[in-house]
Amino acid sequence: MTIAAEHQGTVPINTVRVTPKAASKAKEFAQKAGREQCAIKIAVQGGGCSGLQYVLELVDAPEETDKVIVENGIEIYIPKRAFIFLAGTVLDFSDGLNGRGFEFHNPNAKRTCGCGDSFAV
Amino acid sequence: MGSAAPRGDAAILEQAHSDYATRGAACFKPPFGSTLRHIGPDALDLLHRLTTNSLLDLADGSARRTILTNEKGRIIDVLWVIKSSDHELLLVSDAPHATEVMEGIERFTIIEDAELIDELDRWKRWYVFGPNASQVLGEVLPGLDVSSADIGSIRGIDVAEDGMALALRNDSAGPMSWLVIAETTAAEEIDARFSRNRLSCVPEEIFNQVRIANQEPIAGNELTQEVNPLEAGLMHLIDFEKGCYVGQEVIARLDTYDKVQRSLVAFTQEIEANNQRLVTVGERIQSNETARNVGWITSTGRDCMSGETIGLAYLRKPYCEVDGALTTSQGSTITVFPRTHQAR
Repeated sequence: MTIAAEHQGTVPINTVRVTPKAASKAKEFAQKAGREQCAIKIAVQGGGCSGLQYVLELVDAPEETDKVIVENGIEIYIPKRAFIFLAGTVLDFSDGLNGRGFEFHNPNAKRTCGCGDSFAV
Repeated sequence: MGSAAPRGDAAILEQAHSDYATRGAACFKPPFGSTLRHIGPDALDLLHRLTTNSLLDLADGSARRTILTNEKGRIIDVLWVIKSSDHELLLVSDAPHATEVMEGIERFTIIEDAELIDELDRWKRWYVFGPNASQVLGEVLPGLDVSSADIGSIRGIDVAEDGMALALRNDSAGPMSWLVIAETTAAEEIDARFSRNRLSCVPEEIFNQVRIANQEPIAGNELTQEVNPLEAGLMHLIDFEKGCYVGQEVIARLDTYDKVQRSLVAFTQEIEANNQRLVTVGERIQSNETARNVGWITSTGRDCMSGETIGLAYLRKPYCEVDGALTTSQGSTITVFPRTHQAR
């Protein structure tokens, strides 16, 4: 069972979790980008096959209205307007030949597109 | 503009036909159409992510058509996107109202800094169409450069001190059509200019006859959520290289595996010869062999020149291949043929 699967169903719906592997990868990317601390923004924007797509980027500081979560040594900033679509989500990282990189396990997603980047609620 | 003397519908139509034939152009004030202003730094990027065509390279002061589809790849609306600046777009369509487009965009506006404003009351619109439409429009709005204007070209002009007008070359009623949209404050002056230049404002029936004769689909009839852009013949408004947009996966699959089930076709009906009733919009078309429904009629009219009854219909693909007679659910006979319309 993957770490994300272990988390699925046990993540409180008022938060977003990042698995140790995803956190480690995020730190790796932050280091490569020359950032001293690792902070990522997780958001949702319009677009993609199913209408909503994930946004994942390294940032320096939260916006005033962002929800801030600290887990596994990284800070996660989530815009309030996006949180409703992300509550209960687990961010995992899948590597290897068949790996897809960062993966969102979102309990709110009723449908996802083939590439997994887009979803509908 | 129309005569003040009360006359019967037939006489008005006859006069409108005559004016159109004499001048080679006519004007029509549509009772339908939506105009939205989409503002904010993320407006263009959002629209690019939601619709079928590529918009990110759209230059200021230019226009491009794109299709808003739903998750099933069905048509919500076909929009002209007119870019004023990086932060301001005008979305113009023939849809009867803006509700569905607004819902289709606003439900996916999450973190984007973008706002949609319904500007129906701010703008008035006219279609100027016919083989001489460009020339006539140049006479009505002197100073408007209508030369070498391809489909999608847009021209702006100040109408006296009353307000601004935009003229968008399009194909709503055939290869030579212009959509003029003007601020309400300038509408009276534009009407006066059409009148001074003896450009007839024709009834919707004439506009539809010309549109159908040119095999052009329109929102509400052919462009609805019952069909996808490939069925409607709008392949030229889809950028297959741009990446994801709402409904992209479905549309790409239909195209890749050649799974498009229906096509928009044209048809004629010889009423007089067979003493038949005129077919109506929505009437089902049946297979001659099995009487099974294989399509439906979306538009009907009378060809201005030949007087023949013409129309547009969706038909299952195997029945589009041959020019042939089919029967409708009400027992009328129509002759269908593939559209000769070339994507513009």
